[in-house]
Amino acid sequence: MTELWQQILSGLGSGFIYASLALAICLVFQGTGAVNFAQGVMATASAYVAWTLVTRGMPFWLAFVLALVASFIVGALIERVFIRPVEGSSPLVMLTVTVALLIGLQAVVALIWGDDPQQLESPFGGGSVEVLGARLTAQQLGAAAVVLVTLLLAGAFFRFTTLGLRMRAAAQNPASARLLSIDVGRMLALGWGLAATVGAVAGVIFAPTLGVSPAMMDSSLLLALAAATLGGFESRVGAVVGGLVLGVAANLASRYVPGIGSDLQLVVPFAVIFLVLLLRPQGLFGRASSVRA
Amino acid sequence: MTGAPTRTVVEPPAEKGNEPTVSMSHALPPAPRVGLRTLSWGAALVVVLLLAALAPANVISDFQFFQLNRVITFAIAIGGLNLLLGWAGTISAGHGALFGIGAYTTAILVADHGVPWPIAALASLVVGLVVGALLGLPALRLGGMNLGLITLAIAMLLPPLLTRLDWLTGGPFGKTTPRVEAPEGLPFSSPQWLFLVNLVVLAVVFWLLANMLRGRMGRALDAAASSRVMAAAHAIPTNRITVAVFAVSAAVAALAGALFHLSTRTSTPDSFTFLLSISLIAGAVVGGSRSFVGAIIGAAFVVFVPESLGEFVEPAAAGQWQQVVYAAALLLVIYFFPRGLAGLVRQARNRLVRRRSIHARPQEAQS
Repeated sequence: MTELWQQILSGLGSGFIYASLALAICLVFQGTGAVNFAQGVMATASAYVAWTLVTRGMPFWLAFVLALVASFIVGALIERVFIRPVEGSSPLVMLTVTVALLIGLQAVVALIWGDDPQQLESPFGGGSVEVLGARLTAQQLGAAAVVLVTLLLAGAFFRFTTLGLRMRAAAQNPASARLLSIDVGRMLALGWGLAATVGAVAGVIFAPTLGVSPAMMDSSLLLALAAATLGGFESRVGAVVGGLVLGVAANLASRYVPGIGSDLQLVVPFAVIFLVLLLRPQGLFGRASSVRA
Repeated sequence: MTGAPTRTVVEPPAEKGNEPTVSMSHALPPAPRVGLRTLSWGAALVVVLLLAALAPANVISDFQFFQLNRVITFAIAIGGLNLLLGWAGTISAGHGALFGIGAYTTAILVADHGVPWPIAALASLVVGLVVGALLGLPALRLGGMNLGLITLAIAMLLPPLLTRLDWLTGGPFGKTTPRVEAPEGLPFSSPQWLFLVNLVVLAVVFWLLANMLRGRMGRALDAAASSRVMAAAHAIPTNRITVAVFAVSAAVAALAGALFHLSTRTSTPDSFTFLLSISLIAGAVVGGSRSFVGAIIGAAFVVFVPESLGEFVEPAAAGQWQQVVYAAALLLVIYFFPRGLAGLVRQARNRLVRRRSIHARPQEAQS
């Protein structure tokens, strides 16, 4: 029983990575209608920025904040430069652009920082804590707490601030938003920047466990995409819950289902998706909508 | 499924953004024109074929034939992918994996069961068809773009799966098959013979696909791609044709993979990674996803660009620069030539033709 509990908790731990990436993907999708395949590698770049600053002798939390700021700026710039020219095009075009960003950015990261995996010291120290009989490292707990706070902040931002409401308005109905003198273009750029920041939180805070390498976010990206599908691309809460569910499911399956193991863990999210979509095609938290021609 | 009669019936009043394939029928009665064109292309192909294959080794070396074989097999796969990108309005991020499944099917049948290679290649085609249909069915629930997410999963899963199932696939070392030799009495080396075979397969596959797309199927796909709801309201079984097209596309990719394996003779799990799927998409977009000539252009891009890069940058970073070039090419084409390089060629040709012709084509003036 304790073991099961232990597995669930550490599954939740990695679930937070998928949850925050999935949230970032949702933010971008709601704003620009693009499924951003480059979200993972953008987070990787943030982790590298933090790693570089820390190895130059900067304290972790300062590097963390600077990496977030840099990610915000780069995210907004990417929207301005690469997405703006194809704004409002077909999803296929959008997808091609983000796939191009994925392979381009990944290569650029590898060219700048090299292929070898790097280590980032955990800011929470090497201790461990006992939670109801399960043993969690301070890093696991601390990282989960930081991501949780980020998710709550993001939720509050979209619910309670004028800027957040404006961004939602611009995403939901650009034409009406424009009539209310909302600068839609700027809101979309902000959305990308914000998404990049949320992704960066996950990238940097989980870097000590994942190791810093160009491919560090590859499988997380897949699980995040799966999580967003599971929760429904329109639902921010859904994406987060989807990420946590998949984290636990993947962990339990690789431990208890014979023949899966860590190399085939990726089977799990897609099996879950198949099951869910057979019952609820709109995703767990999505709304079924009727379509008009 | 003949093209000519349906075309005149179904064709909507010329809309903005209609593809040139549609507008072509305005200039001349379509049927004889298509036949003539097919014939002349066929004749040209045969001549090129014979000339190329009979060329002595110092003109086109066996290695160059090997390269050409890679181009042709990639072109076949990209042609299949074009069905999805250019006509069905969906995407497959897993065609590299389907290509790999075809290669492995042939490799296993030839190496372990002594099946003659043509039959093995056909078996690959069938396996591709079945896998494609199985993938397409659940993906329907997800609609259009989400199919891409499911296919992404097989692209990521295939290499570890191939490594894991070593009793079947030979694990990390893969499968090696003996060289394919030309039949007794023909003066061809192995790459030359495969070149001929591949070219014939390419011609046949593209001819079949083009005919399929020219007929009812193509119309239905175009309708469904522009508006699924409208298409459904016009009694087009949108779900069924999406699955059918996905299965056909997968079968073509698997066949291409089988031919690819016959040329390279060894298939290992890392021959069919996610990067291969990306390369195929890059080829389709760069060449032009509604053109079979574009598929060949795109395949040449995918094969030769990384190679020529290798001469300029140090080998360790060659893969990364290859990715950068793919990314840049994709973005440039998307921004500036949305119809790919084939669209560019067609535009230039139309401009030349228009000068000599009184059949001005209003649709293409807009593009």
